[in-house]
Amino acid sequence: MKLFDLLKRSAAKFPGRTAVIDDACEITYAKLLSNTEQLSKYLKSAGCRPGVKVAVVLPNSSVYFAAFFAISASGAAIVAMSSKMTVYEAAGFIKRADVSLVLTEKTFADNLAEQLGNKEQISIVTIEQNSDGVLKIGIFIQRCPKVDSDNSDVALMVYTSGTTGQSKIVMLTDDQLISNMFIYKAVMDFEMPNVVYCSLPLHHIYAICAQVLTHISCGDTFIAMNRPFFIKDFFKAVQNHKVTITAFVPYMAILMAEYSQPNQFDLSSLKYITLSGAKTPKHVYQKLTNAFDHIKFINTYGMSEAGSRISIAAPEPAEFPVESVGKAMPSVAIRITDNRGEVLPAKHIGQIEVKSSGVFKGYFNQPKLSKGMIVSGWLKTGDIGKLDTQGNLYLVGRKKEMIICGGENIFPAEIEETLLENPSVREAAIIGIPDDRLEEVPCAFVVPGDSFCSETDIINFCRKRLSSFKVPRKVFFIEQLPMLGTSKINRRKLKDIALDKLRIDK
Amino acid sequence: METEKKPFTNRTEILKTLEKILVPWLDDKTKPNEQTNLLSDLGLDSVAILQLVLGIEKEFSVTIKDSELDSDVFSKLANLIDVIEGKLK
Repeated sequence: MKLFDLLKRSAAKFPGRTAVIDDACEITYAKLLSNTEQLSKYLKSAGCRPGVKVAVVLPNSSVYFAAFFAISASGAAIVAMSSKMTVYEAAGFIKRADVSLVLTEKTFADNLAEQLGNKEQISIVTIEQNSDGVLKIGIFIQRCPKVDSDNSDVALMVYTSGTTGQSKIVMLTDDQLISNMFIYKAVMDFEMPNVVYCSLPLHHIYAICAQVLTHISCGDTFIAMNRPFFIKDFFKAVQNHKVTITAFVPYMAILMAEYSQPNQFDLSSLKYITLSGAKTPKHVYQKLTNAFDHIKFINTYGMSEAGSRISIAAPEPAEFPVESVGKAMPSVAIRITDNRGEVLPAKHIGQIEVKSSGVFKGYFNQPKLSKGMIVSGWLKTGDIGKLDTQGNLYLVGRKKEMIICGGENIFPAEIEETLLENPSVREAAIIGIPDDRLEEVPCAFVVPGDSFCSETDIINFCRKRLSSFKVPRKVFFIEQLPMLGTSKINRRKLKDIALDKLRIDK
Repeated sequence: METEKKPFTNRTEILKTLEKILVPWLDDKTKPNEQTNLLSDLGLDSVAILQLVLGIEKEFSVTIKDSELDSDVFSKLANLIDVIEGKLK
């Protein structure tokens, strides 16, 4: 079964039901299927088949859905990319993921083609949709696609951090994604049909699994939001479209908990809000459950390498401890291990390990690293946690260097590499510093080179090359980076220095 | 004696200050005006919006509540200036 079959089944069952509403149009399941088939026909004619990688660089919209399922229908692998990437980031990722064809908007295609240059064998295809939902395919550059026969079973490729600071590309098959999705759906035990508010970028594994795959398979209606998250927009959409479910990361939950006059909106249709990306603070969770007692706020934990959902506090969140992220989903096993890999008893803190049918195929082009991640069938998540005697999971921290900013994962190495391209920077290190709303924000330590540069110069340099959330909020200049041994930066020490300096500045 | 500023002058000053706050999101060619759409023209995302609001609160010494913000406010710089102007009165 392919991901595309989920759409095909729902379109056969509910052809007249609204599938997606976005800023430009509203389309039914029948129309979404016909657009998907039209695009997939083109992709096949362009040589897309199993083993070919096709990137989708589109904002949340009905076109995104058509592109996502059309790639699946052609047999190629979907390479999910953020539409907010700068062309500099996108070109780098496209090359690293060995993408053959990019589906994107006209405005992005020009800049991307220029950034990629003539040497690359990459096709660029633009897709647009008019207000009647009619799809228009534009061939910007067409080249012959490359087939990666070792990975012809891959359905989806997404960005992740793994357990170290370097970003990696996770490969997942149809079976891994679909099995995880069906388990999630069974646990959630939805009242149907649902109206799904989609504000998280659709390249996130959390949004792909808990929203796109799950609710397409239910034949539900999506409200696809292509704009930054504003809590007031969300409340208006709930009222206007009778939204029943959405997925939040902690900063969205904080905005909802802090909103002063939610009663001016009719939020009675809203039944579920799933919370993931990082642990929502306890006081925020309690504030939400007190203020909105008709809504189930469901803590859940997952990661790309686990095909995504691992544990969940559902179907009745009130039956789970507030601090936990619920119990392992059925057919998913969780254990906690120490540094030597020994299994720890309940209430002991250690690394969270997971075993399930959703565990990934491996990282693209990094077979050794992939093997190290899975030992005797157990996936080493790199996250630190504990289980209680009832099997509830509690997240304690992260083993990895990854920074989470407003639900987005940041890999220090990527920002550090960008900083080192600046001739005024000799050495650089990125750490995360706490932020009330975004959980963490990146902060840079720079050892200056021979020429002078200011904090503003560094920030502006990054702005032109990196997505907003990756741009360091603060830059500290330092004579020498503290090291652990000969090659590892002492990030703990840098964090202490940063916190001290920020305290003094206040 | 306190001189009363004309509304137009005030808006111009607010725009000038906003231009400074917006520098990180502007390319070399873009000169923002009241019609600039911060979301589609400058591509501000959720994190950028939070940073921008923090910058506005600091520069203008005002507090902006989340209940005062939605995508309409950022769809035209003029709308954002209205919010700031309302706070400064």
